[in-house]
Amino acid sequence: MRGGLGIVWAAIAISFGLIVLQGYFIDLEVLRDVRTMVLQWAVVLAAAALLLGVVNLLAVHLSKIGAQEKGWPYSAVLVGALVVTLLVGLFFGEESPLVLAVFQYIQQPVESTLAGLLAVSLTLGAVRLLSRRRDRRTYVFLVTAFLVMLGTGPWLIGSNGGLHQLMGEARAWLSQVWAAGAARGLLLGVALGATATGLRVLLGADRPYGD
Amino acid sequence: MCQTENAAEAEFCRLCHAKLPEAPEIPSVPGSGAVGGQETPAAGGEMPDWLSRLRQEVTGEAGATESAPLSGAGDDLDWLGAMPQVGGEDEGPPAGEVPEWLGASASGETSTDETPEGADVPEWLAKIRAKARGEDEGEPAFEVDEAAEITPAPPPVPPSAPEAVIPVEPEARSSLGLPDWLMAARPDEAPTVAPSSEPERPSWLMGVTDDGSGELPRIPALVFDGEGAPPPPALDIDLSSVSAQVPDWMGEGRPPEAADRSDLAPATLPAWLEAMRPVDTFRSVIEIESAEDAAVESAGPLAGLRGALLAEPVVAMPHAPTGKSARLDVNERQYAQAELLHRLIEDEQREVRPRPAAKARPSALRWVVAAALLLAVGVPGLLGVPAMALPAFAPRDLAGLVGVVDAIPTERPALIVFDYEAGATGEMEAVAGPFLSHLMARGVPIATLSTHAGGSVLAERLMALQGAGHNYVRGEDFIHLGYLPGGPAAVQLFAASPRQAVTSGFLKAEALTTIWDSPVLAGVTRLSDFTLLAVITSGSEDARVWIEQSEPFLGEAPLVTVVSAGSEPLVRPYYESTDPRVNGILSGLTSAVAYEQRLGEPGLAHSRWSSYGLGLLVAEVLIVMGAVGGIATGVVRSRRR
Amino acid sequence: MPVQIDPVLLETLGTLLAAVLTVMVLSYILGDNALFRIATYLFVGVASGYAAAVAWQEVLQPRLIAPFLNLSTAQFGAGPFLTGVVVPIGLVGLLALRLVPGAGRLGGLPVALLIGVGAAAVVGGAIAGTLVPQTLAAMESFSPFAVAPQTGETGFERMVNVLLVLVGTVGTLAYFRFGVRQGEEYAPRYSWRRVRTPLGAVSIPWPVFPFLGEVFIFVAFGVMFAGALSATLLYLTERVQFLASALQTLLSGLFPIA
Repeated sequence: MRGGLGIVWAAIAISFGLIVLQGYFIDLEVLRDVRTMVLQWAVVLAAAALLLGVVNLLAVHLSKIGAQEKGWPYSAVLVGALVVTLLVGLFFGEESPLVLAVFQYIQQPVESTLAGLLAVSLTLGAVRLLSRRRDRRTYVFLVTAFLVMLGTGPWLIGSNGGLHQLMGEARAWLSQVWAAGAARGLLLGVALGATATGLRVLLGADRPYGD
Repeated sequence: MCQTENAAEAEFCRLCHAKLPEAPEIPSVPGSGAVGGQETPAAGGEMPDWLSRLRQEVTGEAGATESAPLSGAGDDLDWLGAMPQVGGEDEGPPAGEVPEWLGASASGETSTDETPEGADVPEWLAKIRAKARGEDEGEPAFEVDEAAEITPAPPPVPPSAPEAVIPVEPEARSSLGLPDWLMAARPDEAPTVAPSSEPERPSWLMGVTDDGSGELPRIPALVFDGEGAPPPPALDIDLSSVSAQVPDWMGEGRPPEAADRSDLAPATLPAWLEAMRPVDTFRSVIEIESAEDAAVESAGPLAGLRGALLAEPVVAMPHAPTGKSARLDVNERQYAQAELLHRLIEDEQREVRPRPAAKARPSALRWVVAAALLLAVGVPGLLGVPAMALPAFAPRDLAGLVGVVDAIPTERPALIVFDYEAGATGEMEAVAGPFLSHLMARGVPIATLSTHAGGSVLAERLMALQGAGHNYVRGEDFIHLGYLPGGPAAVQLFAASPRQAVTSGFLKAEALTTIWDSPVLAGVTRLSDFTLLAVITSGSEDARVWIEQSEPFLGEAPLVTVVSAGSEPLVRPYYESTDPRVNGILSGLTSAVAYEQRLGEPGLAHSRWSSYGLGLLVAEVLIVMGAVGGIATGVVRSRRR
Repeated sequence: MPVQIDPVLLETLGTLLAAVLTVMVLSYILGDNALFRIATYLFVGVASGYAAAVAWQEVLQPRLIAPFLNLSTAQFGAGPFLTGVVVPIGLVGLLALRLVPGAGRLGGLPVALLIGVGAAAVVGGAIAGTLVPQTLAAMESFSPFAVAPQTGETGFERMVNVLLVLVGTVGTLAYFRFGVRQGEEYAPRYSWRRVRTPLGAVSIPWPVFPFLGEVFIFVAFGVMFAGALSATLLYLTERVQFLASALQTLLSGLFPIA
């Protein structure tokens, strides 16, 4: 039974995947409607998967509270916030001012501040970099970052002088030529890897959906 | 089977009550004279040759007539007919094949002394005779002497063809049934066997009785059942006078010679092995119960047999072993050592409670950096100084983007994708603000979409912020298509069929059945119906997905990306090519400030420019100081080494 | 369901809450503490609840529930209703079984569909959207008469830039393919060879392209780091400016200027 179901799942993944894939290269008219239908199912399932993920998060923290594990009060805060927000969103609608206020005055400020703390971490990391590691790559990395920063922001003095403009040109040359060349190689490598991984799924060599 | 004699017509054994097999029809040999005057079978098949010779030996009847071709019961005995036929005694093997001394023995002649001279005696036999003549009585027939010349192994006995069967003297001295010819080889003690009128019978045939009933020769049962006469006891044979080829171990009653071998020291067991000697577990006497007392097997394939190993009580029903198990004698020293080992192992296995990790205190450098940055970004905003100079030169890319926005038709809506998280609003609102403002200044209707759950709210927030200055009203000038989950597959669906991908919308007017009924989206059925596709994202992944999935369906509509400064290098390859997939790119606060300058509308970018600039400068200074300190530390350390 | 809330009150309370939460998160600079943890756990709960509400309100409810409520007899049994509503409901139900112990294997069907479709979208986009176009883009003409459409570069400057981009592309690919050997991540990757040039014997690293690729990659990383630091400084700037404005609003509210 286990092997039989696994083969069925693989057949479904491969068949529907090939229906979608052909639309990129052949785009058979007879399959166009089927392709659209399958993509719609994927959209619905993605939303359902998000819901299930939230339910799972709830279950994990509820069990943590029930078992009185270390840090369970924080889990209680999380569960309370999740339930209240979900209920408010379901009852009043996600377009209601109350829900929008929750997003604007709780989620956005905390998330922005967390992102802002990264500035301290990144600067601290750059300050300590050469004291921890001194090699060719570190010097290239640090010198490039410094030059780009110099050419990006304003200066206290001479901000519009020739030197600043030269630094601006250098910054543009580094980011639009040197970095672009490496980025193109990175994009090609990423695309090759994604293609290989996707083809393994479409050929049934990889079955991440389980048996 | 229990080997008990049973009557020919009996169906079950009288002893063990096992079902007897049907007696095979034995072909009769006319004139063969079966033992005991046994009637020869009237019809059909004849006796195998080896059996007829056997009978001859036993009965002493002369000459076995030629046997009729076998035609025994069924056709199973046909193969016997293929065997060479042996005639009577007078028709023995031709001279020369069988030595005369063998032939003399077969005919019942007695002594090897009478072996005619010049007979064809094998060399090995001659040597044996010679040696035997030269040996004293009582000498061991077999000596262990490494220095002794190794005598060649005697040639094997001539193949015992049926014609070479030799009757064994009934008074053979070897309990192992040594043939007479071997016995006769001894020069001194060649047995003299008086011719007897009785047929000579080998010892193993002693128990065979002939009751004249015409039945087959009966071989006594191996089990003493009291009914038949017990077989004669084994004859004691003094093998000391046997030829030198007979090893000592074949002899019974030979005095042990272990005492003669004094070159081996008696073995001494080590103390630990001596301590492991089992006690009270071995019964010295093995009792063999008589057949009468033996139980009859009642189960399994051996049902009905007596004396077989019982399966059920022994094998099928395991039981605890009886008797004492081996007891280990341990002295005090060994006990102490065992205790020590046990304690060592216990210490290893005892769980060590993990010490709680020491709470990591943030370093002072971290506080210094944080304080410096907070002051750098806070002071200009609070105090207004220092005021950083605005960029004097616009980036090269800005002109292209402005040209794209200026060229798009305004009667069709532009699709703006808000694919950034709430945490990136600080940068993305500042960078995308002038772009949206430019579109609004041109009067282009705007439709927003997001593949992030909170993207619609962020879209409403920015559109409200920018639209306020251009009197843009939701529902009339811009609408929100809402949330589209599913990643690349969802983007592909929207690119191929926008109306089937999004149906509900965000902050949709009550009067609208679906969002596509909005006047902002009038005439839009495909992706190419939009006048422009702009992707505002803080990460390169979302930009790449939209570029890959939407390009085949865009048609003539340009694609523009507004990205974070950190993601620009990974989006620029799509822009920097002769056939670009991205027609315009906007990245970084510098470009946004320049854009606002170009539009003449200072916005968020302007308001954050000084704080951003000072913060960037402080970060550069800190990095330089850290680099100098790191290099100096490295130099000092290397010098110390 | 419309809710009548005083917008001024909502904004005031909201701003105060946002300011307090901002300070709680910034307290992490001093070290991990309970205030920071409360703020972050609160954020996770709110974000999860909001995402779930949006997914239900904008996708599942209008696609799966509303059609049943507005169903007419004629529509029931129609093809679009079956394929657009009934089948997705069944798929969602099977997906929900993943949470039920013992019946989770039946949820393999919708997961297989999601993975198959997702893999196809990734493969199709990667090949048609990146591999082919970027490979063609790497084969830019070295003609000095060509003009870069985006920046207007021409002549020698453009030739040098095109060459640099090409070397960077090939070097990056060579670095990841030939530069790192399994089990030898910390072994010296390059050796130095002396090559005769018209200028004399020059030591060059060998192999060349992985070495060059390494240089280009770390230049790109440096550019990305500078951009990321710029972005995060903007986030911090926005937060500090918000705190300043919130403080100003609060003070003006407490101490109104007559």
